[in-house]
Parts: sequence; structure tokens; C-alpha cells
Amino acid sequence: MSSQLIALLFDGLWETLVMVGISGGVGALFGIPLGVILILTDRGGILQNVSVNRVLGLVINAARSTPFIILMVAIIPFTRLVVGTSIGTAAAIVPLTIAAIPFIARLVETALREVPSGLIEAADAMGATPLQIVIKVLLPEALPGIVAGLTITLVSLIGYSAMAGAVGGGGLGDIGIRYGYQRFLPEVMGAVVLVLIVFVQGVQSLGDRLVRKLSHR
Amino acid sequence: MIELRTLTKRFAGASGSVEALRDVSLTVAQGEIFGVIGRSGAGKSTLIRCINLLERPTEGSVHVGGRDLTALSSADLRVARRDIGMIFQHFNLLSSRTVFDNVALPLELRGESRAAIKAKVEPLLDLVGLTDKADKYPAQLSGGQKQRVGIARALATDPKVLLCDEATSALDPETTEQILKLIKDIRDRLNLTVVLITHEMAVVKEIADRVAVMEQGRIIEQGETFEVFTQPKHATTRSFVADLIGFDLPPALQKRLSAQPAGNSHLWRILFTGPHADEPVIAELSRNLGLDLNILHGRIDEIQGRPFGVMVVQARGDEAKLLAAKSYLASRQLAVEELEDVVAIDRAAV
Repeated sequence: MSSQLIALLFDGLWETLVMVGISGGVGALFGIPLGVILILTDRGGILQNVSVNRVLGLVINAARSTPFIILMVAIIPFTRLVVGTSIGTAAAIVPLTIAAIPFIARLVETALREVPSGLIEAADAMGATPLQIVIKVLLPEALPGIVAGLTITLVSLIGYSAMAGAVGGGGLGDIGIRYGYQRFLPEVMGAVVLVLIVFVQGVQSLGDRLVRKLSHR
Repeated sequence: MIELRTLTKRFAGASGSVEALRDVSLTVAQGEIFGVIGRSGAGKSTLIRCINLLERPTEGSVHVGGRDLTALSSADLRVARRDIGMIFQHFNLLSSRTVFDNVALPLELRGESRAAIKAKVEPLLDLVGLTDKADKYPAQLSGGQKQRVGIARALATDPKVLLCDEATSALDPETTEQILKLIKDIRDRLNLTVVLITHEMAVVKEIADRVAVMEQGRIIEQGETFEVFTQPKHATTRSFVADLIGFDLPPALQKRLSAQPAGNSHLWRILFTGPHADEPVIAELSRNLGLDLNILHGRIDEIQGRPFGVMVVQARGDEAKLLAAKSYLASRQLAVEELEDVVAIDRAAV
């Protein structure tokens, strides 16, 4: 393997890390509260509000049903507004984040649903405010599930980030397509796939280990 | 301490509304252990959850410590709830928190300092005998230990009232007894007012000072535990007592008796209650009156530490002796019921 190729792969890995890391992080920042709101406003939730719940659910479903490649192109004006450009790694992060938010929101909702309702009732009986119930009971109890969900999100984002090449986003996937596929360099393709496998494997086992550490059930 | 006034609770069900509580009123005095017993679906769970307004009654009002909880704002209600501890059938402990942190939770919610929490939690863990488990997680504890954590947590805010929602139903009989003993002990020590709901007669007879029997959302009988269960007026109450001491003849015995021809023997059911319940009356009957007594079935138990039992005997002798025996039993304040009729009806049916 030439040193040129190694340098290329390192750059790609770095760009992928940046794209996935930032979009995953910002996605969690918005997605987790949205997941919480979904649970709280659901029928039988502690802040039941069926119309808010329904509208939010609809928006989330709409965002999740848009194919990523279309989403990326469709929101170019918004991307330009946020990062000032519609090409490059930074420009790729915006649609990745937009895709991550509803994904995380649903996974967080599922994780929160696993918290036994008796715990919420117990906190309620102690005189906890809704905010205290979220912070002291719901989130800590659902944390292992949330971490597992975030792990799935990161792995999915790695897949999505391969499409970021379409807006010049760079990253491993982009290298694979441009060098490996379009220039008929199968060894580059192979190397990219290998790095991705190791990368995803690493993320998944790190996530699994964290879940095991956090879970006391 | 607790006063429920004409509570009615309706739930919207699939086929119209369902009445879980119908015009329920009861008063629980300070320092009393009040039991509510009923079969599942009788409304007892809804009743106890109305006391801290986890369930809001459709009609009626709830007064705890002289305050009408139903009239409070939600912020005031949250403060009022600190005076009402609650323990649950499935413990409802946070799996992500250690034993110590579970007990600390209500104090954290109140915004206590770390030092104040430590000063409060440690004696509580000592009280329930879990000092050495402070750093364990609930998953590492047995059912009885989990309920002890639940009790310590419920007591953390120095409540005046403790609500026990089927608190021993998930525990084995031996652990149940230990937990009940602990609750009683805590009541004696802290002068707590305790309301407990259960479907187990064994729980009520063990610790309840007074009891209410519920059926179909109504309280059908209430009073001193001993009185309610030794003189049950309602069929449901009777069936709870039967769970405990077997009021009715066992089927096999009933069958055997029905097969016997009616003779000069009498079948009596003697209820052992009152001050003479622990005297050797059967021995005296046969010795002093020369009556031929055959004990067929019987059971003596205790309700609230007072002996209570039932015995079915076959008495043979002439009329004079039988009459004398009956008046002797009456003088000992023991109720006698002729069961011959019951058997005779069966006999006719055969």
C-alpha cells in the first residue's frame, strides 16, 4: 500500500469522524429532547397533549421517510444559511444532522417507553415535578437504551456519510466511490471497505461496552 | 388523619364509563393501621391511589392531616405529597441507582444538601436493616430487601401517612411476615398512620387495627378487624374469613355426612371468639355432661392477637344433655349453629 493511499485513507477517516461525530452530537442534542417530548405528550404521558404529539410525530416521520440523498440536495438553501456554503465537509454535516435528529428522537422515545410506568408513579407520589421526573427518573433509567440507540445512529450515519461526496463532503465513502469505483482502483475500494468495517466494529463494541457498564437491571 | 368523603371514580372504558369507586367514605385515625381488603377489581387500588391523588376522584374530597387535597394547586399538592409515603407491590425502585441513592431520591427532589441527605439516609437504612447493602443495586437484592428499600425511601421525607399498595403481594409468606412486622414496628415508633390494601386475609389479620371490605367499588363492611371477621355480615367478608379458617365443611366431609342416615346425633358449628375462646370447653362438655363429642373439623387462628376459631362437632346424647350443652356454650359466649339442616338439604338432593 503506497504512502499516498495511506494518507488519503487517513484524511477520509478524519473527515468521516468529523461528519459523524458532529452530526451525531448535535443530532443527540436535539433528538433526545424531542424523544422526551414525544413520551411526555403521548396519551397517558405526564404532560399529555395529543395534538402536539401528533404534529411532532408527523414531522419526524416525514423527515425520516425522505431518502438521505434527496434530503441533502433539498435543503441546500438551508445549509448555505447555516454554514455559508453548500459544498464541503461542513456542508455535509447539516443534512446529516437533520437526518440524525428524527432518527435519534424515535430511538430515544423507544428507550424511554421501556422505563416501567411504576417508577414515574413512584416519583409522582414523592412530589416530583415533571422536569424532575425527566431528569431524575426517565433519562437515567433509559440511559442504557439511549446509548444503544445512539450507537445505532452513529453506525447509520457512517453509512449516510458515504453519500456526502455528492456535495463534496469527503470522507471514506467518497474516497471509495471516486477512487475505487469511478477510477477502477479495486485496491482502494477494498482498503476503504476494510477501514469502514473496523471503524463500525469499533463504534459498536464501544457502544455495547458502555451499555453493559451503565445497565444495572 | 385521613378522611375520604363520598368518593366516586369513573373511568372511561370501551363500553361506556366504569365506576371503580362508588360513594366511598372512610376515616382513618392518627397512628392507626387501616386495612382495605377486596378481591381483584374491587376498587381498592383506585381507593388507595385517591388518597395521594395519583388518581383524582370524579366526585368527593380527600382530606389528609386536615387539608383538602382535592382543592390544592398542583404545586401545593406536590408539597403535600411529601407527607404521604407510599410503597408498592413491585417496589418501583430505580434500577440505575444504588440502595443509598434510591432512598436519597425524595430528599434530592426536595433539594436537600448532600450532607443532609447522608445524615437522613444512613439511619433509615439502619432502621430497615440494609446498612451493608447501601452500595448495591436493586437487581442484586431479594424481594424482601427491595421492599425494605421501598419503605426506607417512603420514610425519607418524614411522612405522617404511609400508603401500602399490595406491598407484600409479590413476597413469599415468610418475607411477608417480616415486612408486616417492620411496618408495625415503624408505626409504633413513629406514630405513622398506615393504610394498606391487600387481597390477602393473612395480611389484614396480622396488622390491621380496623378494616374495610370492598366489593364492586363499594365498602360493604368496616370496623374493628376482630369484630368484622368474627361476625361477618356480608357473604364476601365471610369468604375472606373462610380463606383463613375454613368456615365451611370440607367437601369430602360434607359428602360423608350426607351419606349417613339422620339419627340422634347433631352437627354443631361452634365459633370460638370472646373471652372464653381459649378455655377447654370441649373437654368440659364431655366430662361434665357425659356428652359424646366427635370433632370433625376445626381451626383456631388469631386475629389481631386474639384467638378466633371454628369447630364442627358431632354431638350424641339425649335431648336434655344436648340442651344443657347448648346453654353451657351460651354461658361461655360461644355461638353454636346447627348444621344438621345443611346436611339434610344435601341428603335430600342426593
